[in-house]
Amino acid sequence: MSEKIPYKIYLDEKEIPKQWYNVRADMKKKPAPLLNPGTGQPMKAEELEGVFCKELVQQELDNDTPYIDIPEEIQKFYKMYRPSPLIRAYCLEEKLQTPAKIYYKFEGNNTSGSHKLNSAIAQAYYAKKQGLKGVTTETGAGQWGTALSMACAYRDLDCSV
Amino acid sequence: MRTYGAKVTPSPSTTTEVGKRILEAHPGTTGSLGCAISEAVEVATTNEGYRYVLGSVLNQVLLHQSVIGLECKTALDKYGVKPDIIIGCAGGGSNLGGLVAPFMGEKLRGEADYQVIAVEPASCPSFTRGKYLYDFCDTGMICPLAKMYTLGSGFIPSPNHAGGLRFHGMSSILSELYDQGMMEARAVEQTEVFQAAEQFARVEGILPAPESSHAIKVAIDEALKCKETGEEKTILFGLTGTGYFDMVAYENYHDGTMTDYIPTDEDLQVGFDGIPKIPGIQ
Repeated sequence: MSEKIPYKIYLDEKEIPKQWYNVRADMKKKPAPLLNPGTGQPMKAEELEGVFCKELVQQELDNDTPYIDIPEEIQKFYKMYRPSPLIRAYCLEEKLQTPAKIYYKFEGNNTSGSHKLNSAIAQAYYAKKQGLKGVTTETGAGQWGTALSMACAYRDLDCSV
Repeated sequence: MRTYGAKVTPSPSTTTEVGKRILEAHPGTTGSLGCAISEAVEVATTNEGYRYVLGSVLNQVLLHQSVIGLECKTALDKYGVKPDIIIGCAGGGSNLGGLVAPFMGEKLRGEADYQVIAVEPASCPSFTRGKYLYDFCDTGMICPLAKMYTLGSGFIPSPNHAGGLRFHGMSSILSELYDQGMMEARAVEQTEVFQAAEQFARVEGILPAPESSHAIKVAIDEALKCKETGEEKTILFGLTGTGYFDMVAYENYHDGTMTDYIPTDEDLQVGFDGIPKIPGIQ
């Protein structure tokens, strides 16, 4: 059986997801809400909109919708570097002499060298759609900062890291 | 980043009020993500037409990252493969949350069972040694409070900590799933992580990011357990990226100057002492 499985499973471009999956919809006990540090009450959408853009606030607070459509433009951007390969680690299995079957999803084939671009483009898209001038963020090792810089360049937004 | 036109300021900086406050309180600090978040939020909220964006932790980020898990599921389903163990590194939780999303959905709906393992650095052990409480996401305490496994917003990983996975808290979604017993967590030390990275690079031909190598380390551990027991388990892990941003860390590893620092209980207590008390909640 296992001989049939290739070293790399590449999906077709048409198989890139068209909707994101919101795991909160299937959680019986939901994650705790964000609280306003001043009042100790759950943050309202209006309060969060001063910091984040509107559609992202809706996504942040949505505990119930299982599937959320990925806007066309983001789907187009995903095609630049997705689908990412799912790799069967035959070489590692052999080296370890293990009967285990090891697979890994490799998200490093883009300029940020990481999975971070998946969210960077979404956040840049909604910021631009809302007519904002730019966004600010922080980065630790540099992958997120690079991903966001690239997404902002693509969407013509200022980016301050 | 500047190649793509971004403006880059090292944190803590003297360009924000909160940055100045942090530098006054901790002269010479190497900073943390928590400090940088405070500064970035301040810049966003004091400049018209700007908003703050975050690369991990938030529910919206985990939502976007679900493309990782959804593609995995589609690919595995084509060959009728079902993983027994799913492993991902966890800093703020964006990769792990995205990778496991559709699998966790099946598990939550009772359709399938998976062993899910979060791997974190022993130098920043939010899941394995943190407290599940409401805390600030940033050192400057200007962001909303999130309930999460946290080391306290004042926690700063020791300077020898390499790569990412340095956030003091954890995604609220993953924190709640961990609290419900839907997933487990392991903390690993960085020299053993780099050993795993080297072993992986030599046979698979990809130089892995230090973050991803945390997952590699535990995947190898689990594969070696199978070797002992003879079990043919299927292991899926997330290789989040490449290690070319972290050549200094690789150099330290090869020079033998990389060290492990596991915070003591006293070190952690300093962070815990900064967790806010909220009347009627905690």
